[in-house]
Amino acid sequence: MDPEAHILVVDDDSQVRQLIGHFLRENGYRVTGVRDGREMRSTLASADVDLIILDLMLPGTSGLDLCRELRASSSLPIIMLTAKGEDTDRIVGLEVGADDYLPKPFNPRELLARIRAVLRRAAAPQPESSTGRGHLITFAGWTLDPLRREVTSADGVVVDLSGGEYDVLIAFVEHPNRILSREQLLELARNRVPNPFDRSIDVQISRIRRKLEIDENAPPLIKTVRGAGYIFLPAVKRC
Amino acid sequence: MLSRLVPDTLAGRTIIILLFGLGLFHLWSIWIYQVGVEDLLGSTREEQLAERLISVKDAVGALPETERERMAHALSTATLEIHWSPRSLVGPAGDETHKTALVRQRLRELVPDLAHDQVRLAFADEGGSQAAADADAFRHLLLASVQLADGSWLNFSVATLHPASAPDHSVLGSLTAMAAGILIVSVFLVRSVTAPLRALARAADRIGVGAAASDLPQSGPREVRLAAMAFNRMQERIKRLIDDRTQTLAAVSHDLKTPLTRLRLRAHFVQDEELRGTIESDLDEMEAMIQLALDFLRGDASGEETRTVDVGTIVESVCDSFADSGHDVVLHADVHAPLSCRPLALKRAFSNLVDNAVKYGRRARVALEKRADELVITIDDDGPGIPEAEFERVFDPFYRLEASRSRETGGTGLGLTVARSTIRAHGGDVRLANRSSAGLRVTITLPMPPHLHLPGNTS
Repeated sequence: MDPEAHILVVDDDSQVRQLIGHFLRENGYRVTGVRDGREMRSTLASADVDLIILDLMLPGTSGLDLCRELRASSSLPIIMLTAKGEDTDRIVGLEVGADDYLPKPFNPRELLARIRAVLRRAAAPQPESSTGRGHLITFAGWTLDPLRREVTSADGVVVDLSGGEYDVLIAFVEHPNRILSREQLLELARNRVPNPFDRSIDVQISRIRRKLEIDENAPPLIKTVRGAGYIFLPAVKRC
Repeated sequence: MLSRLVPDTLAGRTIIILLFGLGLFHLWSIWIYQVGVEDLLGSTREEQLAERLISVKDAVGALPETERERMAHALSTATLEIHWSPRSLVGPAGDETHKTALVRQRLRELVPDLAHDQVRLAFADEGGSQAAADADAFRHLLLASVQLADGSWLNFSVATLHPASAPDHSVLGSLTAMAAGILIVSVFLVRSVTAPLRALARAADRIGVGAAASDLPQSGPREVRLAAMAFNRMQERIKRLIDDRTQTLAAVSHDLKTPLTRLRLRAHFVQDEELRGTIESDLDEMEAMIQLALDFLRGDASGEETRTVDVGTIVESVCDSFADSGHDVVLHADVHAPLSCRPLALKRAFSNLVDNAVKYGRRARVALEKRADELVITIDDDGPGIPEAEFERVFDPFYRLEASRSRETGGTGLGLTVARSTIRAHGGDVRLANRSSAGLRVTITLPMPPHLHLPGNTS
């Protein structure tokens, strides 16, 4: 993680811009705030930016259009902010290429965690980023859609997973057939969406098992390795 | 008493009016027919009779006495029998009746040269006739005696067929058949005419019950078309009114998100950790209220996609999240129940109901049961319950059981409203009951088609 990362905040509300700037600077980032797409383009032309926080509702060109425009030429990490908070807006935001999405009003701690996660993913050179967007992952008859952050059965039945459960599951899916310690899982999952009420990894895993290990005769998805952690057993395929 | 005899429906009333009118028409036409036929038949008969009387009188009077009876007989027809006799068949003019007086008057008008004393008239069945022994046998037989110059008499008997007696049954029958036909046809016609009115009533019933009201077809009679038009315009105005308010409130709720974002960020700079905690929990509450208000305003128009979701996992997530934030919520179920639904809306509905249980009933015991064709979710709490009389009212928007307590526990008064309208939009229902021990039991039912399965979940 680069504590000196340069973050560009695009929001037409000057106070929100200043407050986000203040907050992120306190946490060790360099921050530039601009009010619209025009200023964003000129800043991008003159400075190196590591991540953009982009508001959906902007005067002139909308955040969605700016996001699409940026994606056409670069893979610069983008986190979308929107006051709408509708599920469909989130999907659209992710489909035009945003790396993450945060509905207003958000918890600053959550913004910080997402920035860290997105920056970490962008820095990681492995093909892991394939879970970033647009690729479905299948395992043991289930299909995981990283875009919608959801898991469906072969019949198309969606399983409702909490944010924490999904994060633990995706950590497993990205590291199948490997023993993961609680600390590793915590590290992999925590960097996505932390929640002050998140339970211990053990609780999250027992909940995932309850929701996904439906057939008693089928082999388990996650096996406990005594004294070491957990291992995700099914074969994982990407398509 | 009378009102009970009057049918309830417009169609029924129209048919009764029709029936009454037809009955009147029927009676009237029978009367017209009878009088008309009688008049017509009467006048031609009298005319013919008068002419025959004169000509027969002249013809017979000119013959010698021996020839007279033969000639009279020869001049007889089927309806007019003539006999010569030295005596009159009809008694002297003293016992004139009203009817014979009328006939005499007519005869005199037609043939003024028939002298009064030369003609005697009687009806066979009305007495005054010497031959009328059996009145019944001679009903409507007009008897006339004309005196010849030598004092002998020509006796006429005229069968005056009762004019209405023959057509009586056939006319009545055909009129009745016609009336019955008209009635049967009109029952169908009246029902079809009033069909748009029934459609209007059904459409009016639908307003405000969720399903998007559609324009009424403007068909049927003019009055019904006008009513349908007026109804559609009213519906349009109501929709505009609701839309305006919804948009205003949605815009306000939406615009609140920017200042709330600022507040969240500002709260983060508060050094006093306890103060920061309380500010953040206030913000949480405000956000929840805004979310509820938006849910309520959106109603069914949330635009959320319908998907097949394991409702069991939704209930688990809701209970887990309450348990994680320190509430006493326990789920007794290991049920997987795929259901075609709007998952976010359903999740909020469950969440509102569990929230209610922990707020007013300290704890929630949630159970999930899959039955043949429905999913039953019960939420029991340990609170004081709700008086049965209030069961329906607690679902009203902004209704609070006990203002002071509710204000302390917070809430918008919309949680139950939103929850029930969501569940109902899914074809289910929410019912309340006080448990015999203590506390309230909320029972949620959701209809479930039996054909969906999760992998391996074939049992």
